[in-house]
Amino acid sequence: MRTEPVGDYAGLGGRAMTTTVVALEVPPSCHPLGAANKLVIAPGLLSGSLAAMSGRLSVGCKSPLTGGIKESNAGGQPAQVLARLGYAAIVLEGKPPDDTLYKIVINKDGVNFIPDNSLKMLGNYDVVARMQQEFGDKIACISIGPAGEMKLGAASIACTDMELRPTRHCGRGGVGAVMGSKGVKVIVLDDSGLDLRRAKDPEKFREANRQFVAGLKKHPITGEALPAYGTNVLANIVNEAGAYPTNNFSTGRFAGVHNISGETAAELEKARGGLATHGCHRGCTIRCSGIYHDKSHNYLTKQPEYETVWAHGANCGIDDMDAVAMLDRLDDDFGLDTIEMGATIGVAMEAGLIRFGDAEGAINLLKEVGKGSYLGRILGSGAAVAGKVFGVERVPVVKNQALPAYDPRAVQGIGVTYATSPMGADHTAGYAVATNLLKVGGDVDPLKPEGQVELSRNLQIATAALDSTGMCLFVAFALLDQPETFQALIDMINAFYGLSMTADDVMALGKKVLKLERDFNRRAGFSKEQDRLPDFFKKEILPPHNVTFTVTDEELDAVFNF
Amino acid sequence: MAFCENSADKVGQPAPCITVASGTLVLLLPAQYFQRLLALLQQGFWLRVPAAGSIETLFCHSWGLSPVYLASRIQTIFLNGQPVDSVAALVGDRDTLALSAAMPGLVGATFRKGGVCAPLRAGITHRNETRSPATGPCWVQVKLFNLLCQELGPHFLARGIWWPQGLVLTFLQGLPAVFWTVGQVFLDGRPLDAPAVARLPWHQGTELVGVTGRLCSEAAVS
Repeated sequence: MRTEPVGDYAGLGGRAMTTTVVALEVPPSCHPLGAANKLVIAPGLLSGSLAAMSGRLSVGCKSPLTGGIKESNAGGQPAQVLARLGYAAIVLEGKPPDDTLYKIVINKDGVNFIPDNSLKMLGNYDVVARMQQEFGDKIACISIGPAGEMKLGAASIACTDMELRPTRHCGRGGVGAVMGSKGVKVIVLDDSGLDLRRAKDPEKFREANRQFVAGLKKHPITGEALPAYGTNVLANIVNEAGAYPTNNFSTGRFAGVHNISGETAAELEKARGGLATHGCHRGCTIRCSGIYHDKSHNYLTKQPEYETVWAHGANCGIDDMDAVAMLDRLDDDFGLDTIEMGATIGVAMEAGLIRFGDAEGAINLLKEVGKGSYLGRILGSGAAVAGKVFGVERVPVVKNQALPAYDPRAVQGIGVTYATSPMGADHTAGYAVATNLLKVGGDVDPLKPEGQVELSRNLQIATAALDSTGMCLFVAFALLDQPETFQALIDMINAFYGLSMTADDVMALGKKVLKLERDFNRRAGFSKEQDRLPDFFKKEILPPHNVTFTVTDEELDAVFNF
Repeated sequence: MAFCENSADKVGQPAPCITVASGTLVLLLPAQYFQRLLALLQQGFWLRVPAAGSIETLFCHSWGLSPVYLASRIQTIFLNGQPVDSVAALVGDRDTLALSAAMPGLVGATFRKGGVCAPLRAGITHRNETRSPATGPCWVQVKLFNLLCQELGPHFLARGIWWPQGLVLTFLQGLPAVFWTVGQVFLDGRPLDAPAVARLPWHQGTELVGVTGRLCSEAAVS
């Protein structure tokens, strides 16, 4: 263990930090579970300060799922606490000589590696409960469940929320397997005795933060829709658009959507004494999460996100909200990516292991993963592996990573991002919708269909930039519609670090991050042939619009022309 | 009364056949039960309009709602499942109009009417040129999502809507015993109680029944 000055990585946060370290220090040809891979854990630029929405934690490595570079991020408390402890990043490197499992404790006095084999194969909830018993309730935890220990391709890294529950996950790309390969079960962060990080210009910072929060509160998405219903507010409209992948991407509408919609879930949560509006970390003003209680009015899980409800719901033909919530709880406990597992169970249903709509069967399949049975290990390795093992052709993956909850045949521009993102199919890769405001690549004419490729490129750049600040992506909506809110964000960063960055500087950082990621993947053996959607999207028509994916390979290859 | 003679294609789906049952239901509901009723609006309800017209015409003239609200609050509109960029789009007989406030996520921005991300869904965008205006009275299905359930739902329920009998029956039969001491239900002016609801021959009925609903205080009955 060593602590180093930040050196050439100074000024980087979030995805910019994780990507830069991985791109410069990890051999692209290394085995993702080998000693040469590194797991980089970085808070955002403003984490640990008073800045609202600054609690995203980025994790980066070479992905065991995709074989390329990976950045996955989550909310929760760890980013705030890690930043207050004064660390710009934690880098786990090398490999332990045996199968001893470690907990790492970081507090104001330093860092301790402690062997603790009693934690072996515990679920995230039990691990965190043990850490709470041992270190008190002022901690934040970063942990893996059994899936990470088994080094499965769908393994996530859990971050605790404000209630010290392991509900926020760096889900995508099998990052939990890399943490497992380093022999680390949990990182306990304790910032007791430490103050908030202070801005270089406190007055300007406070005023910019005030403006930023006011902008978020007055916007109808960040001030009303997200707090009222959470991300699952999207279910009804995506279904209405015929873009809600159902029964393993075989149709775009789910008849039971009203049973699992955000509107229905919010009513259920309130009726059972849970919460429909709740933040995932201190300093969150949007509060898009919630607390889900079971039929007996006892805590079951956090409010399941849109992607989770889709993956375990419509994609598996399941319209039982309690079953979806149980699957979410099991995913969180075993340490699994909900998108990957929903897609994998959908593939298993397609293969005939169980029928579409069989909620109990889906729960049992997921429990197989937690047990580590042979079947469970196959399923926990993700949709691509399951598709091969069970001989399924319709396997919705790009670069071996499962597609999220929007069918690219109905929303073709999103398909462009799924195909070309260096991360594999990723709904957050082109998420920063403020591209026109940011003038990335100039204005796009919304009436021109050919703008899809151009938009996807601009969205990916803007998202890489926003990810690099470590801010929650949901701030993007207020940035899109309110120039003064975007300016407030830039002002916050400038006041905190004593800089004079412009929007152009932020975008240049986004471009640089994407270039580093693309270059890493190229050196790892990726070529344009991996920037493609599975064949069935071009051949099978999607009801109700009866459309196929029609963006050409040449157009896809034009996305990264910078 | 049936309206099945025209089977105009609704984006890959046949136009629904509409049959109207006799009888009108009036619901007076305390707040928590009124919320349950509002939640049903996401599944859609039917309205009778005097003639086909643009979204704007229906919204502002037929239904008496504010053009400012339409322009500013209703950010996402689907006509028969196709995202709409202009409120001048024509609504015809047995069309489905789904309305939503501004939505999060890239896909939320993508479906926003006239938004910068509209090209991302160009393949399914509604285009008026494929429509021919219908004449005479029309049935229109309306779906209200998210914040609009709360904001527009009471308006439509007070004016009266049409719902399939099976949906209404499921709602009524799901009400707890305590409801019948604090809320009221009338069918054609006659009060109904729980046993009377159990006797209604509406099981899984798709015939439309007229419904009006209003919020009342819990002391309404007692």
